[in-house]
Amino acid sequence: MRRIALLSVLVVALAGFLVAIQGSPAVAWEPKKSIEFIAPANPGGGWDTICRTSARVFKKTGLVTKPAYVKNMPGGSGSVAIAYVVEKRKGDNNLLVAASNSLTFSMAIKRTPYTYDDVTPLAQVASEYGAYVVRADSKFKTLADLVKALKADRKSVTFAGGSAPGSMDHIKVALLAKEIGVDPLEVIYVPYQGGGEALASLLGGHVDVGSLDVSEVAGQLEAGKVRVLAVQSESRLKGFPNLPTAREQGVDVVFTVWRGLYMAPGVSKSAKKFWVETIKKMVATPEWNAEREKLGWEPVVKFGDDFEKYVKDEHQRYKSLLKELGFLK
Amino acid sequence: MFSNLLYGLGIAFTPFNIGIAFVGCLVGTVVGVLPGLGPTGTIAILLPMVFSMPPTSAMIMLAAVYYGAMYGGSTTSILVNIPGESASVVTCIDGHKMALKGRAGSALAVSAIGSFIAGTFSVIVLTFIGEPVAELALRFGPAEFFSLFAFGLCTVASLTGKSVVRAIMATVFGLMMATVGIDLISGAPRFTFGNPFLLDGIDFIVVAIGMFAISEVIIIAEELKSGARGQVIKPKSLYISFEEFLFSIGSILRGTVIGFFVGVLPGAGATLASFLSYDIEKRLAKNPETFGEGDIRGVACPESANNAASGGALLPLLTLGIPGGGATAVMLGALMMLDITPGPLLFQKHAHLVWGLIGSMYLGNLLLLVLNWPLVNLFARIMSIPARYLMPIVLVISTIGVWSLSYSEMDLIIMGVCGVIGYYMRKHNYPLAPVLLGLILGGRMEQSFRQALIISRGSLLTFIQKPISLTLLIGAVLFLALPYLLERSRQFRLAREASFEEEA
Repeated sequence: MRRIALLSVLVVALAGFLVAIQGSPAVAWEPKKSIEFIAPANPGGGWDTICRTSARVFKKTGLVTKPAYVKNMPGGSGSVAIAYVVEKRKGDNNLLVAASNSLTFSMAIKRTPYTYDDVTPLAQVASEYGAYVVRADSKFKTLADLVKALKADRKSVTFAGGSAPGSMDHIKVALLAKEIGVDPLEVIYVPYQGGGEALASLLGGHVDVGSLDVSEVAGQLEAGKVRVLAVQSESRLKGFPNLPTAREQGVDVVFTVWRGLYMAPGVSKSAKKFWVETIKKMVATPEWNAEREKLGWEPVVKFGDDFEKYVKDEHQRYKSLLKELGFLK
Repeated sequence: MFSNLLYGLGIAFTPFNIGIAFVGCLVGTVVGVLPGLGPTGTIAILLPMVFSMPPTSAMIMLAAVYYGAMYGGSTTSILVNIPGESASVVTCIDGHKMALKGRAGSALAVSAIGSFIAGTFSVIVLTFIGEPVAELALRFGPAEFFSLFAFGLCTVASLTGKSVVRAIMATVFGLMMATVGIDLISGAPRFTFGNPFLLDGIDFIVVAIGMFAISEVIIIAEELKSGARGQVIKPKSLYISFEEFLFSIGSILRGTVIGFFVGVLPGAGATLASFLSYDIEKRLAKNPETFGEGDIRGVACPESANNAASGGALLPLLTLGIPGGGATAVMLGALMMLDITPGPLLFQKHAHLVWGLIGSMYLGNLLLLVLNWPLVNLFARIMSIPARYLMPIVLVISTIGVWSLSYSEMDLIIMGVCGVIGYYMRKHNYPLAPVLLGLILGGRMEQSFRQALIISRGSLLTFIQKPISLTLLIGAVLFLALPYLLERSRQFRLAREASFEEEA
């Protein structure tokens, strides 16, 4: 009896040892040290907000027990951060990096040599939508008024946005022009250093139409200082049900600004799985949704392979779009 | 209005809010003293902490960090020639000279007093005529901004030092550096040589620290080696005298007004305000040649201007919901996370928050003065540390400060290169400040110029058709021409007097 007992102890011990040296494939990966977020921009912007909000919700809900901190790494619309992550942080399972369409544009316009093939796309956590915004006293009452003016004289309207030509705010204008049969490159677009400056210029009456995110103008809208001619969403926004979409006014412009996260290349499968599952759980928590609503973000999410396919398709789409618009040869 | 103010003071003077304002001021002072780490980054770091507080207290604390940083920014500029914040670059010029002459205490004290007066002034304006002033800010479109920056560039005339040609060369060097990075108007990268770290351009504070602090270390090392420099500077004054205060009060008041109005304009900022006020002060002075050699007015005006500007920048945020710059953009984000929509209705819908914040700023400025006053004495004693111990510390602090900006080796390289360039320039009597003036104004000036031309469909007339723009441009021309014309008329008069004497 004692022998059998001893033998079984040995067998169990050996089995345990074998499992241990195999890196325990059966046991799921979870973070053992602190989590690092990289926001590839200065504090205060969309990327920074994704990181800080996620970190806070992780902590509040106990989804991730290890502490998380945010590092800002601005430069070239995500180019600096992606170069750093690909070159220096390969295989780091504890690193999450914020991203959005801006990064896809940086790739499409070849501001960075890296693409989504070089990193591990993880998830889209929310969406935002842009809008065509005018001052409350503008002569443009509806999108139709604006379209009419553009068709009559494509140079008669001055648009403003918070990014350089060929980047997001300009593309939203270009898509409108393309849709109504006006040469996008002929439409007047004034780029500003960020949405805030574009908004100030719109309010001051220096430009006619702002290409801005709905969340950026929420306060002005509430005060009746601006009018939203059209939102570039598929259907009306949950947070702003009174704002008409472009589509319902017969102009088919849909442009989603997604907000999401990616990881370094070469992370382990189980780590990727852990983060996908954790983010899936996070976006379902009331804590996350409360924060999301405050920011005016819409609950549109994608995970893992779905997300990866989406951003890779998007990269190709933007490349052909930029070619069509004359920004790429 | 007074009832609103009393209501706000009532909110601010609860024990918790007093405590939180104190913590904010303390953190702000520390952040201001340390180079590199600025108020924007610090506010971002503090965000998770403030979300567990009531919104009013949260904003009280964040705002205190923001205006507190401007108090501390002058300290390292004066003592060791490291600009603590970008708005403290101008303070280096006369502030450090004063310290070298043993007057660090006076310089530190005058900047504390100036900061207090400026901070309090901007809160008073915020309290009583906030909204109309903010509406005025919206009148500034690209054309007006271009003319403002052009006007700002003319201030180089008072930074020339000994040779005008050298000053112009230095300015052009700064303007050239400003072109590095992605061009906003075309979206194309310029002079980045395929290096992603250069896409966002060359950081102002990196160049400032390199040119001022690193070159200083090199020069002192050289002087120590050759024995040209004594080890210790004996402090003559640990505080400011009443005469010095009276002498600089005019500069403080003028710096305050200029700083506030420049600060209100979104995107113009405290740095431009400090350059402008320095220039105007030097022009008004009866003996402008003492500027640049350790004139107390050269510390009083830019330090008042940058504090007033930080108060001014809060104005468009609170009344219009438009951020004036980096730190206010983070505060705008914080408001949203606190479930408060920043916008023109803030005063009506969140009176508690707005008036509580304004009330706390009266208290905060007083706290900062009380907090900084004993530090003046303490910091002034740093000058008695022998240079051979102090300079390695300066090098370490500078390096850490630059590294903490964005963890980029490129920044460290730029800092080093700028240090060597700064050393060369100082050895050959090139003034350093024009480089920084060109760097900070160049990019924005070019942008506004091109934005204005897109809006005007290519017509240059836009700059003289708009009244504000025209006024600024006329001012710029007068600024450049006036000293020359005055000199000519003086010579003419002298010649005439001489000929009269001959006749007589």
